Amino acid sequence: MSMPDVGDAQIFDRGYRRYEGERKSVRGSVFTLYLASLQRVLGLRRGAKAKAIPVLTIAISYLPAIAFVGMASLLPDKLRGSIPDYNEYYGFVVSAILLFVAFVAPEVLCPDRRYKILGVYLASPLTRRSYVLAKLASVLTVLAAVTIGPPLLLAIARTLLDSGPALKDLPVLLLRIIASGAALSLYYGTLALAVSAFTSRKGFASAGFVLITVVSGAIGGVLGSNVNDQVRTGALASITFAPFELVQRIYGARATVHASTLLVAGIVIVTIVLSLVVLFDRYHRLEVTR
Amino acid sequence: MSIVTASGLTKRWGDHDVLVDTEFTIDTGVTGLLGANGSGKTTLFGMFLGLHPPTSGQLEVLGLDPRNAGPVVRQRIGYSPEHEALPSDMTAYDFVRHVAELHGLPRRAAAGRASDALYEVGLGEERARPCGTMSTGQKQRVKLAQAIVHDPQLVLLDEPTNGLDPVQRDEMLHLIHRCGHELGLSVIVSSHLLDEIERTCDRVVIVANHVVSDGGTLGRTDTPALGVPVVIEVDGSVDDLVRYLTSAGLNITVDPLRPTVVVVVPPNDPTQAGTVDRRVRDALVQADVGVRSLRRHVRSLEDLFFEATQ
Repeated sequence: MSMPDVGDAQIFDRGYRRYEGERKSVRGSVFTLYLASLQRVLGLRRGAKAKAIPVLTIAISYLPAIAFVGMASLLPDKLRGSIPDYNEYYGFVVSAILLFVAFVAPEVLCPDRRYKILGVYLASPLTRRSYVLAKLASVLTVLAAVTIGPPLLLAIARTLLDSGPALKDLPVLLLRIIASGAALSLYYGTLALAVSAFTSRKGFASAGFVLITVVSGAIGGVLGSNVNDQVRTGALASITFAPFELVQRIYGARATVHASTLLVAGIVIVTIVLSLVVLFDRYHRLEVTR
Repeated sequence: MSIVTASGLTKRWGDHDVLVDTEFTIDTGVTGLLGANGSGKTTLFGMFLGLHPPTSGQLEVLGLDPRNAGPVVRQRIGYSPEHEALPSDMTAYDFVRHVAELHGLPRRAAAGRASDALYEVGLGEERARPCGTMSTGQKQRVKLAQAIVHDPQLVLLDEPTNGLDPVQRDEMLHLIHRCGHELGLSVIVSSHLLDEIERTCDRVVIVANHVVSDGGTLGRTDTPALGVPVVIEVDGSVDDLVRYLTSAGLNITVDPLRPTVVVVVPPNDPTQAGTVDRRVRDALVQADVGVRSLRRHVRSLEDLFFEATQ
């Protein structure tokens, strides 16, 4: 019987030891939390159930755009004339956004309070403000990917059909895509987190957001009855209406609501600011370790 | 060396006074923070971390004011909260590594140290288990691992034996003792259980009646210390012994309940302290009495706690 070759054997020193290496700055800690939260909302390093809605969200928003790019390159004649305008594409995105903000966004805030992990986070170099900012940034990143990526793919599809933007119009188109994506992401991201700041249960936060969507939609429907070819200003009370009306105007499309662009933008901005105030105030007042 | 210094420290929650104009110092080593439930131990930890600003007074932790330098102070502190505080669907390894990164360790170092810290607390084989599937004892160990993973200068452990059975409690106290005495970390352990503090800590500070008082060093030392009384219990009358001790210039008291016990209170003058033992020996020989016991009176933690709370 031959002896095993132990020539390369090594003994590893296991266990605790002092750390003399480099340490990241406080900003590094914020970035760490941002990445961890991003992983969490995308369901990475978690079970299949946690991945389902994020994957569905991305699929709903990207699949039509990918299909348009495919058809534009393979069957351009069939697609020509039926490809949607940029502002029309957000009709595909709205369900993806609502699905994400209602059922995934609460995941970034609620469990930390429910399982009292917030105390551990605030015992690190993070402050209450930087904690909320990192969490908000992770939600906005996913929403931006959902609202900015697909219109860019649509631009590629339109270019393949020779109906894309001229080179001189490209910067304006990019600005419109980014501005629309930013408005939608900020509006829904801040609103979803403000709702989540009131409860430590994800289910309650989701139900709260759905309730706000339904109630505001009903109010908007009642107040926004048709005037000639447009709806009244009251329709802007609906959270599924106001930001998309702003997107229409960013693209220079025909207004749906009988209201000035300033008023529409004002309603969206006030909603974002109010949501931020509520969100930061809730976390400012939250008791930790007492 | 002091790691925490407070002067004139006051903390008020609404109308409720937690601390009132208190002054204390905590040195390196393992210190017990002893106090009844609701006495303000957790609030004090929150103040060390810069989460609760003092109502008035000065507080320095690791040489910095946590109010102004909170993130820098917290980067150098490890904290294990009283509550469970673990994500149920995250593995112990992922959580500990995440906390290490939050405290500024680069990703690679955090990964290595997370394994080492979990190995150190006896969870080397269990590190890939989700925290939610662990027993209470294992969860307390994960909390300890995340508190030490980034090699902090100060570790704050809030009631670390909560919910543990006697065996798990012994193991946890052993781990805490090891953190302070073998790994070289300064540790402050809060507890309302006297024996836990006595078994684990070198020193104790007591939170009671809205003040934090220094309970001093706990009685484990075998060497005579300045100001530590000597208790003599004799067989028969103490009268002769009292006369010889007094004539030897020693300050004594006789226990009125047990007239066979004499307590010799040594002077606080260091030049005379060394001669006390010799003078007691000579007085005993001259009095020619039988000695039942001769011992130093080391204050127990119970003595300290009752002194502070009265």
